[in-house]
Amino acid sequence: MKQISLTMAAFIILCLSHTPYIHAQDLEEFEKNVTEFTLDNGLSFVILKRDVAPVISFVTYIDVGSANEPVGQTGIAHIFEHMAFKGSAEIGTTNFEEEIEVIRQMDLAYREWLREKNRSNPNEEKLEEKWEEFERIQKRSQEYVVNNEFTQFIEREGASGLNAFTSADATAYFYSLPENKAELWFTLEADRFKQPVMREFYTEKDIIFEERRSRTDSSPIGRLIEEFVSIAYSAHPYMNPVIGWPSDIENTTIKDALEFYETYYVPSNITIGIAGDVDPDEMKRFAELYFGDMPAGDPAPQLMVEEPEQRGERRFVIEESSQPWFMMGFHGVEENHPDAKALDLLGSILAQGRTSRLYRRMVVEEQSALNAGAFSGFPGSKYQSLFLTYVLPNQGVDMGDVEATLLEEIEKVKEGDVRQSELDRVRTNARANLIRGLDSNSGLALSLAEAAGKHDDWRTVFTDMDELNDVTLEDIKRVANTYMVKKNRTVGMIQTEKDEEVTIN
Amino acid sequence: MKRTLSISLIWLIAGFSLLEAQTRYDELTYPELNEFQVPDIETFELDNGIKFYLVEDNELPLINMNVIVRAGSFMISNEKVGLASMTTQVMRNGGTKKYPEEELNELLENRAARMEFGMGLSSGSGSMNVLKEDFNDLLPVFIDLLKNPAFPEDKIDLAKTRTRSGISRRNDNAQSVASREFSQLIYGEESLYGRLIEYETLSNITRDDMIEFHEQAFTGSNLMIGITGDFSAPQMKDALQEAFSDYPKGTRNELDLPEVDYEFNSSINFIDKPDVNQSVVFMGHIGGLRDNPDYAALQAMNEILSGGSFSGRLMQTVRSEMGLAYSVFGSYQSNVQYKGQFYAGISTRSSATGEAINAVRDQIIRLQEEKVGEQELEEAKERILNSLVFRYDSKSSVLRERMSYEYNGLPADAFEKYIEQLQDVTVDDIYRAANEYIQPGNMRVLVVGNASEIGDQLDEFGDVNEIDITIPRAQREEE
Repeated sequence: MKQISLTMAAFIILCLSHTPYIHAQDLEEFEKNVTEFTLDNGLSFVILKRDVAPVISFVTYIDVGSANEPVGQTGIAHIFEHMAFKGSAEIGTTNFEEEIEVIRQMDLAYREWLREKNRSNPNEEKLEEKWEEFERIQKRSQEYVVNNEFTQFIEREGASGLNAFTSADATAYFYSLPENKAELWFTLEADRFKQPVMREFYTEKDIIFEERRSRTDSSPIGRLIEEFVSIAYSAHPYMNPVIGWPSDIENTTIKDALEFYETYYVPSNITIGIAGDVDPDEMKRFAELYFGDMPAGDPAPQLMVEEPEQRGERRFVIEESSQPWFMMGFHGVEENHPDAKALDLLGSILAQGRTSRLYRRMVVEEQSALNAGAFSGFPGSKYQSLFLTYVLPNQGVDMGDVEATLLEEIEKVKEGDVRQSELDRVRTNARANLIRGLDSNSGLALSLAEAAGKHDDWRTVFTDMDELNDVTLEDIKRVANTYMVKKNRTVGMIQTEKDEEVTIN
Repeated sequence: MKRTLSISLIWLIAGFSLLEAQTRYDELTYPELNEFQVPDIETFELDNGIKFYLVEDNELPLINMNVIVRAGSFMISNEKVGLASMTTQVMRNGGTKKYPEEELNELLENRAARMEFGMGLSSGSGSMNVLKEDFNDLLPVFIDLLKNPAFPEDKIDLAKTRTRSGISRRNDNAQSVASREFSQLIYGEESLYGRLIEYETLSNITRDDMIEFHEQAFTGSNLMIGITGDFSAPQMKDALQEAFSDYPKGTRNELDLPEVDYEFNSSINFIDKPDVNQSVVFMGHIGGLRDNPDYAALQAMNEILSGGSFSGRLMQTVRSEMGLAYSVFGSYQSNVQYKGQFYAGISTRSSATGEAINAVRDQIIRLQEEKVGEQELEEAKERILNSLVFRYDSKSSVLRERMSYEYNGLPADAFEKYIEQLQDVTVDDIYRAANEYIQPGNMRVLVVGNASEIGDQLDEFGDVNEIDITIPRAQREEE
């Protein structure tokens, strides 16, 4: 139950967008082992037969991420993700009918408390009264809970890698089972997404607050990234942290979570990826049997916000006790845009591997950086995203010099300094990365489900590489000149507070 | 695939559309599990002592070579902490006379090839991952890196600059501060198992030291090499025999790591980090060795305390019921080469620090005060036994396990033995092991957190010892 931190998400997206192409015959070979179908209610399956070992990996990919959240409810995609491990009407309860009524009352009480708390002039006494009432009902709701029965049952049957993630673009749930227990996955997975239960909702929010403290509040890089995206975007919800703003997490209720579920967890918004030692016909039979009766519902609403053009450079400095970080991001494109592949390759030319431009100059030659990175598709890639560069300066290096060097390297690309050999090299590596990623059931199940869920075709995992092949040196130069301009950029950094200043304060 | 065939056949006969009902999760019956074909591992040894392990796997057009090096930072004195890992860093980033750094990187990255080296406390590693068509061209490059690193001065300086930069950043993340400082609390600052690279030890390291350590570590009698991928074993064997024939033999290193010097006592230790709103807590004492008749009972105890992703007591109680943490963990470590740690810990909001320490400690005490439930033990065993199928989920996993067992001097059937013993573990065994190996009253507790938010919550645990982690460390004992 993890919320992928923005950095992690960025790196994963980096991998996926660089996953890549294989020759046509490889795709044909691969295609022989893939079965795809869509149920009448709109739920899609992509199944890869790969009988290396008697195990199967399952991924349920929902085309909803934190970018889809309503105003005032940031973090709700991730909260729902946590709730999906709490069981269902069938599992995790001693008496579902009574329990569901108590949960309803608990939510009413919490909303009463919220209403009082958010008044301009809350009455302390009433507030306390309402909180006690809420706690009283919450305690009663706990009497029906069979602690972690859902996850425990799965793990007892030998599951491996039981977890989930939420990113700006998507939510995915996954685990692997011995191949003879596929039906267990079908019955439990269908169950939890057909009739979710908001069991232990408010205790789980405490856990999510702890997650936020670990990943963001108490982590220098977490703080920097949260600040960075919130400044870089002015309208698009990519500005919000995946885990949510603290007051939104507090204000989210069970009613909100169920509305979110009704809206986005409809079959046409769900893609299931399965990879391993499977009999595709049997999988199809189970799919119809267990997921066939999920009501079709209305198509999930689309996100139509467009980030307006930026009018000038944005810049901020966090002064604190931790060591320095430097970040510079430019508004780029969404991943289906014709320029997306050129920006991906440009990121690799700048910072992937020991031959890349930033590594050669900043890490090896000038020794100004411990590390430097550049990639496109941040904080998500489905909508217009940022091309992000970052540097971890070595000790005593001036931030002004770091920035000047980075800008010089970008300027060189704009002037057409990139050589054909560099472009060829990053393409070769992209192809090899794709091949290397084909050796894991769980990785494959996720890649295929994502490609099918996001791009309506699992083949894009491979055909994306054809597009990389079409990128020319002229394209690299052009995209650098188009997007990497001053008024389109955000600069943010952590600067280490000097001890003296602390003493003076 | 016989099973699935016959099932399809039955369905064909029965008629597909006959009514079929959904089955509840607890009413399912399962067919027999397909078998994993454990691949044969071809092994051979050269006169120079290198031992090879080969497994063909033609699923993808790749060849991976993984080297285990019989050496480690345990061979390095306290004045030169950091030498071992610096040596492997410069082996790769300094290149050789024939393949200097810049050319080497272009050569490798033009073919999307990867070569890396590393050195841990009690073993080293090397790896070469290439597309199969590049194997013959790149094998000599890899061998040259293993055998003839140039250790150029400018790349040594670069490695030192980066390592210094890393040292300066080591206090930024509270979780890594906590696990690092807890190791020091258990093993001691000057101990092989707790010591840190400091600016001073780094500046003591010379090029000659690297050359000497490389010569001790990367010789034939200290290398085990595993190769998996798309090749034919007989041809590969010939190619390797030829390529490694003149590799120097050297002397075999003994993995005799010193015993841990430990005295049980309790303490409460604190590190102030004003920029956090969450306390990271570790508590525990010294752990044990893998070679122990109670190993299986202790593993079962670990599984009950914190097993699975969500199934252990700590997750159930401290996380799910009390909502005190996203992350909570605990385990009695049984290491092969030297004693592990017994530790448990949690990350929790500053205001709940005291409550969280008690909540975790209560779960440890509970293991000693009452026997675990029969059903609880049964479920813990099932989790382990039913997931055994994931032990081998690829051909390379078989090879990795074999090499690791041999490296550590474990018998080939050590795992099977453990599983047999695990099946026989009783609630009494766990009760006895918990009382024999764990001392809840004698734990060292470490809290990394925000002093102004935590207030006096730690006072109930004794006289708080504040640890200064300023870099470089304040006056340490002279050797």
